[in-house]
Amino acid sequence: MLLQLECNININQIKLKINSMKITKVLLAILFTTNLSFAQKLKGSDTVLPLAQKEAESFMKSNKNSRVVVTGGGSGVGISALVDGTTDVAMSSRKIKMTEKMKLQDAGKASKESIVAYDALTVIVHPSNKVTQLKREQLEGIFTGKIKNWKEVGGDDLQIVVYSRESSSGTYEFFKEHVMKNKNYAANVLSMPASGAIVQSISQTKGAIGYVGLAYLENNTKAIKVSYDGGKTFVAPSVETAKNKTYPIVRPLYYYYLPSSEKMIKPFLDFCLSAEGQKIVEQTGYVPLPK
Amino acid sequence: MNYKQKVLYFISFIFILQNSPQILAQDVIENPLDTLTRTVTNSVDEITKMKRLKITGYIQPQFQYIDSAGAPSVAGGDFVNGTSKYYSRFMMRRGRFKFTYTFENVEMVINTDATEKGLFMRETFVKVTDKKLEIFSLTAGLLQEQFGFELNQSSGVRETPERARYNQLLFPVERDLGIFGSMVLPKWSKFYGLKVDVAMMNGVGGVNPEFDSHKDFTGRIQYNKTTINEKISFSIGASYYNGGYRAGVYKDYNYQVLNNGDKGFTFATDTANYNRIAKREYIGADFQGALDWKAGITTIRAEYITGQQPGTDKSNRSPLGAPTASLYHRTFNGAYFYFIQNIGLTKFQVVAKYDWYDPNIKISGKEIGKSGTNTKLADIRFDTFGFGCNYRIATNLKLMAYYDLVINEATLINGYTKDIKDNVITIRMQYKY
Repeated sequence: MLLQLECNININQIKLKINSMKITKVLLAILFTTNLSFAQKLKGSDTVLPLAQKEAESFMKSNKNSRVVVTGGGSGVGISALVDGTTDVAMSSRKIKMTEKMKLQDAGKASKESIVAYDALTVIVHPSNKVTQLKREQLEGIFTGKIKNWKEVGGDDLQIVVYSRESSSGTYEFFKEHVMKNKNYAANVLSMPASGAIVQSISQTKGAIGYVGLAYLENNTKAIKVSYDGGKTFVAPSVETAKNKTYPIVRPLYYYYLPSSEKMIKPFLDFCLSAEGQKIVEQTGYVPLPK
Repeated sequence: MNYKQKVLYFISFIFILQNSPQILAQDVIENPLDTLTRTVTNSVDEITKMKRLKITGYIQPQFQYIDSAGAPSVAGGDFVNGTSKYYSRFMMRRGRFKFTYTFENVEMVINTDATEKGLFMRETFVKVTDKKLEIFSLTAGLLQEQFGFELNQSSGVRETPERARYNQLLFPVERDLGIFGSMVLPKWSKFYGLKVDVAMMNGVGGVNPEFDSHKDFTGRIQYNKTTINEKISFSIGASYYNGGYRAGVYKDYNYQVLNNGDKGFTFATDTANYNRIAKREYIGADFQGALDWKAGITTIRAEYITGQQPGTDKSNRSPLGAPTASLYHRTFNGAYFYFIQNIGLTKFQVVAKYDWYDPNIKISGKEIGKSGTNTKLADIRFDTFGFGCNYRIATNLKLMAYYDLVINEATLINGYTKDIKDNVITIRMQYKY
């Protein structure tokens, strides 16, 4: 029986190896046929990621010879990659810092900036949560750990499980600066490597709360209305409320690139800023640039 | 079904059961996706462990030319006086290999310097940061001195080849053995941007062992701010150093106006106490500012220092061991100014720097070296004007061309009756990793 078990495991390992080889061959084939190594690379903010992916897909459809590769990781990761020379464009949900500019300068580089869209930062909870709205002060209390139970903010007697992004994320910094007024996150906050992971975790945890870009909002989570005037008005995040500036947590999304790469990325950048590109912005759940 | 058939069916059933992978698979075969997830998770764990150790550093090979053979210099050390005209040299100015291991709130650092002169230990310390607030940290070991800005700035990022003359003479190895506490106020604090450092060191410098049990104190307070648009940043700081070393059997000379009206040193008769401490006391202020505008990033830096420094007749340099000659107590001052301009968005950067070091501010020019005044080489003021250009060839590779115009005051001392020829050209390549 044991022998049989080993045989079966070996057979499966062989199958896996064969599958891996097939996958490798397919990837190599893709690499050689598509000139992926010469593709424009975009790296950085997870908030910008879904938008950049959609823009890239549409751009590549109309520009058959162009290849755009988009990966996330966080704004800090993207800008760091720009310093290291491992990306052509750094996607960022915050402005590049002076210290990062100095690092670029030390590497003999400088960056150019382009705002490509706006985003409504959205606070999400599990759909079964009774709480539908929160004041900024309450959000600050929850994320700093002062408010620990949902009953303290009108919900059930249920412990609050707080999810956050990692510190390299621009969203992490923006939320800390604008919602938490620069107070520190509580020590028990669960740091997630990507916005998608936050959505997934919250959809599976009843007492959970977190924040993501509006484009990440799905049916398996619920968006919270937010008040920045002490509870007089609560506004739900949407493209409309962000456009008419009634929703208080809106931020620009940036592309940073080197002047030496400008010629190469200009067609894609122009596409993102074009009417067609801005239509995708709205369709994907972001706020287009003012006309 | 007879008995034989039943037995046959039973054996067949057992055989099929034993040999059917599909049936067994329900218990033992792992879903390929789970296998992949497990493999990735294990790999991430391994990478996380490996990321705790970082190896960084830089190497700086360089060529230098000085306009007279054998001239003393602080641009990488004195130039040797050869049998023929010896005006130039190749050297490895620095070869740093830094190992940093970080786990949770504890960091351990070993920093070495490998050049043609050998392998030297530059730093070895452990740093513990408070877990809860992340405001306080304590560092112990062989550390960077904590006075002013330039002293703490890495030579790997500095835009000029060397630190200002006064920094090189007052803190010759830039490191010391001791402990260092730091407080960095967080963003939520009203005083965000404020940093306070205090250190207690041997005062001997570098890896040299303590010889007098006397400890030196350093305190530094710094405030930095960046505008919301991330276009302007500035920082101001103040530093204080209070220390000294046991003078031993050696005589003291103090400055005063002599009976004949000349300025000079006289022998202090109260030097019988062999445990007296030769006082080192410095106070300094510094400013750094950066502006990001159309022409590129402009950076300016300035620092001023004044205080008391014991030295010998030949040098006002801080000792690296117990004194071996008579001590001269001097009041000094020094300063530097940097102007750094990145040329637009190009890879070029131009630098201008001026620094001075006056080891004895109470005496100058032809007063130095006058008969009966006991004033010597160590009393001469030096002014240095530096100009350079940095070209960043690639992300990690930098080429520096720099000229030091060094002017000493004209004195009555033989060899220093006029400005000596000691201007230096440095061509340096730096690879940073």
